[in-house]
Amino acid sequence: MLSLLRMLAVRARGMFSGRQEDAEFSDELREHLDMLTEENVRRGMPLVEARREAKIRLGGATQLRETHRELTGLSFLETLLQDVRYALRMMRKSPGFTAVAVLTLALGIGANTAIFSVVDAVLLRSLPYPHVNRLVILSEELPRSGKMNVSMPDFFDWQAQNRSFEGMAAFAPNGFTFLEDGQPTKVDEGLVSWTFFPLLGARPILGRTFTADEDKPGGSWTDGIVIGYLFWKNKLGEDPNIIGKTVAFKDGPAQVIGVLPPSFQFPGLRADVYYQIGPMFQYAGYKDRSNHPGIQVLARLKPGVSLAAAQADMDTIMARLGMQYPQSNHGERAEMTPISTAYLGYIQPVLLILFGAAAFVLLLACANVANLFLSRSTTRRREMALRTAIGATRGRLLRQLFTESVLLSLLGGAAGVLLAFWTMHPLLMLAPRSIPNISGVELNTTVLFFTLGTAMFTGVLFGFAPGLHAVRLDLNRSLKDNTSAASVPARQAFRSMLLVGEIAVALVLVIGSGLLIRSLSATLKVNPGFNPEHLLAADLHVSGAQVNDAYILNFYGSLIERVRALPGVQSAAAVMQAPVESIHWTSPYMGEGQPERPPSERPWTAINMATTDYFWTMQTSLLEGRFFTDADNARAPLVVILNKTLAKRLWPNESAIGKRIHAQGEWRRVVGVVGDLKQYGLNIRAWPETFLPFEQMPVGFMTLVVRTSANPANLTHSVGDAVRSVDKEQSIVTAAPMTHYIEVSVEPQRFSAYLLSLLGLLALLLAAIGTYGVMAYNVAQRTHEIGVRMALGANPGDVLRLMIGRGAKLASVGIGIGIVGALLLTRLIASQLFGVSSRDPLTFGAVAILLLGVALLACWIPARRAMKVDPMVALRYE
Amino acid sequence: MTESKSEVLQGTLDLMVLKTLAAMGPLHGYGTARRIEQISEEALRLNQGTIYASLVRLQQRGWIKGEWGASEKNRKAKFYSLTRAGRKQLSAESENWKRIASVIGRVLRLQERG
Repeated sequence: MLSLLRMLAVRARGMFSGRQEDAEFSDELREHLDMLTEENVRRGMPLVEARREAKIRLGGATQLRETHRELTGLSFLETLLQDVRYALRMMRKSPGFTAVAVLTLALGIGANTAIFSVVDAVLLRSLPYPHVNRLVILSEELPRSGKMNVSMPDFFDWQAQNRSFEGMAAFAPNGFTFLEDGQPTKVDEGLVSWTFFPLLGARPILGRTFTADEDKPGGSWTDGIVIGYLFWKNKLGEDPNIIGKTVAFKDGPAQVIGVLPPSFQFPGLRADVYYQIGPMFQYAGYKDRSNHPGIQVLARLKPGVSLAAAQADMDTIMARLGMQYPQSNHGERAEMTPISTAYLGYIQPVLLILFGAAAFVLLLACANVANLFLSRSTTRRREMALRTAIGATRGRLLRQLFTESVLLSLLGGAAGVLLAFWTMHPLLMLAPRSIPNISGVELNTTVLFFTLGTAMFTGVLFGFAPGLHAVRLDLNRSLKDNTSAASVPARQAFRSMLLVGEIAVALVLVIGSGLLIRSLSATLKVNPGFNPEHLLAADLHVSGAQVNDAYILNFYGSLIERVRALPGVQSAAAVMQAPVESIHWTSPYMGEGQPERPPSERPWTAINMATTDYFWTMQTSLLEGRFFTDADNARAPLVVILNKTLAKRLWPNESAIGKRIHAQGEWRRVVGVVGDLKQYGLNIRAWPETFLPFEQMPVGFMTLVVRTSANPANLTHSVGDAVRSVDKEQSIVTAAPMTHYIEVSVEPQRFSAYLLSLLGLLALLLAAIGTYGVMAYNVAQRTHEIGVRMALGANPGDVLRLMIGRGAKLASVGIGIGIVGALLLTRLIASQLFGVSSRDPLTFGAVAILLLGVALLACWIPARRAMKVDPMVALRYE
Repeated sequence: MTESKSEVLQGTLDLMVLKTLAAMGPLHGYGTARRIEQISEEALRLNQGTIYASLVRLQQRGWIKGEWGASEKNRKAKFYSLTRAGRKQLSAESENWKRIASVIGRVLRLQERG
């Protein structure tokens, strides 16, 4: 063992000090020769004779040096260098070949690099927390509710009673107004329990985070805040002495106690400013177990505790709470979701599909380059045979071929990185901002290592086929015969296989992208239940010490009046939750005449508050009854408007008008039924929704919707002025045309559809080039045969049919295999599809025809060349 | 078969080189080759270059070491000498060789049946 190590060490040294040692050995040999010569001279030989004899006694100097080199380990690196030099010479000699090969590889490797950099940022780096695989998100679920936020008292009970978690933290988003130079600016506020930052391993770069004392349930607020890095940097000028300083907020000043590091991010809560959550417990809503604003809960399992064991633990606790508080908790379960599923679950399949598609594109690039190499290996056959004849071993030849292919793929990889670098930013513009850490996408070392590995692997992969052919060489035949290699049936079969495979793979990718595009267009065609054109949506959140119900009613009343008076405005209204992003409020409901059940077992409806002209402004259709009127105020009887889904669910066969529904803690009379508004997104089935008149349940956070005759975006400014004119302390949070929100809601779909289409297009291009390559080669090899045929009386049409017929046959086989493959693989994207089946015959048919057309075109160009073959030239050619 | 034969020959040459260096002290390649030829009373005429393969092998195993020095006529030459490991190896190899030689000798002395 030791001697082996020593030998390796000596050899390794030999590799690096190669030249010097080589020279020394030459010296040694020269000395030896001199001494031998002298000896011969001493014996009486004339000098010339003596020298000749000495040379014979010593043996061939070149051979000796070669042996010495081999023994001292020079050979490995030198052989490699030699091979690399040779490969570079080959590349320079055929720049066209090299350019096509490198470009093809660059497309394949570049696509993989780009997609992997997204995978790296989003799937591998977006949750940078200690023991991330033990972090879970906890939510609650009633028998008929779906997943819900957690009630605060339940959270405290979980914290006290569980035996499975080493830590639990509560968090909730909130809106907040920062006074930037006296001007109100909305910032994102996060309410967090004191355990939140330690659980995520976030250490402040300045100051500290909250203590348990500052976060007592129902305790009083301290004015300490923890701030995010960007807020510190952008709004507070990176003041290094910020700790203890006071920052002005609308609700009063606050003192900075800590600044978070730039690396801190949490997909569940985007916030600039953090307050403790404990004091919220003083408010009645938060104390309620059934009708509460809700908090979100993050927890870390103790080491060694399985998800199932923790679930059992939580089930016991929830059963106990169900007995203790039957009205609110009976039958309620705690749902546990690993953090990666909770925040990446929706994007992971999309990225993996894209990653898989990119791998397919790389495969196509490999096939094309292998095909190129194969064509060239035909012309290099004599070279290889010659080298074998003068003593190169097969291993040696293989090594050289692989050196060439790996070198080429490394060049392709380098070009691919450039390509990824240039195209990544435009592509990322398409990416939805909601994807965790999408802004962290970069070409870092991990990505570059991935690219290097991919390039090496690629080189070996496409070097394999020509390599195999090289070693199977029949010396005698290759040296003697000069005819085409197309006559080697194995090689011909291999090419046909490549062609069939390429068309099949391209078909699968194009069908996949076709399905996603059809799905996107189906989504965009969905009737959202309102007319999003010429509609501005402006989010508002009134705040300040003076805010109470009367203030809110007055504020929004005056605001709507002033906005309605703006030029170009047709109507204006306000709603708590405008489509298409999410639902804020939910409540259990019960219809009149239905069996009385405890609230925890009732089904749930979304609750929304709307001002009088809301439906009219949205142009939502009225199916029954009436819209709200100004008479539906705080003093009037409680009324509601239901959406179609809820009305049908409650009273499937009769009119809902005049019936009563118990929701949001009261019995309310139904006065109207409207068409479903797509609150959650275009491609998500409408939830049951109950609309309350704003005056009967005023809240501070509303969305102003404004119908205009002009471009709604131009109205933003004057609406902002209107807000300030009502109360200069208030401001708009965000404002955008409703069409923008619809766009944003389909961003994930657009992202995957466009990206997959791009990859599909690449695949189509590569397959077309591949088909063209194989067919062009075929024509070139059969020039002689075609000449004979034409000399014997075949007309150009026959030749064209012959050549295209062969291509069409292969393409059809490829399309057949591709359709089977697509039937199997499109199931993987079924969950991403909306309004189109994963086996949509229209897409399958259209893409098959497209592929056949492209393949025929790729065959037709070389076949036309075959048609023009002059039989005389063709026959003379060989 | 050819492989094992050359191995035996290599081993023999290596053993002779080791013994020569042990007996004569540091020598350069020429000296070593010349010495082996002389000892064999010119029965063994080496292709002298082959000695260098042997010298490299022995160096790589750490049994001899080579150092540049001045030759008798004050010319630069590389001198090889035995290391401690080489001395140990030599005695082990010598024992081994003697044993094999005696076994082969005894076998060759067997009377052929008339």
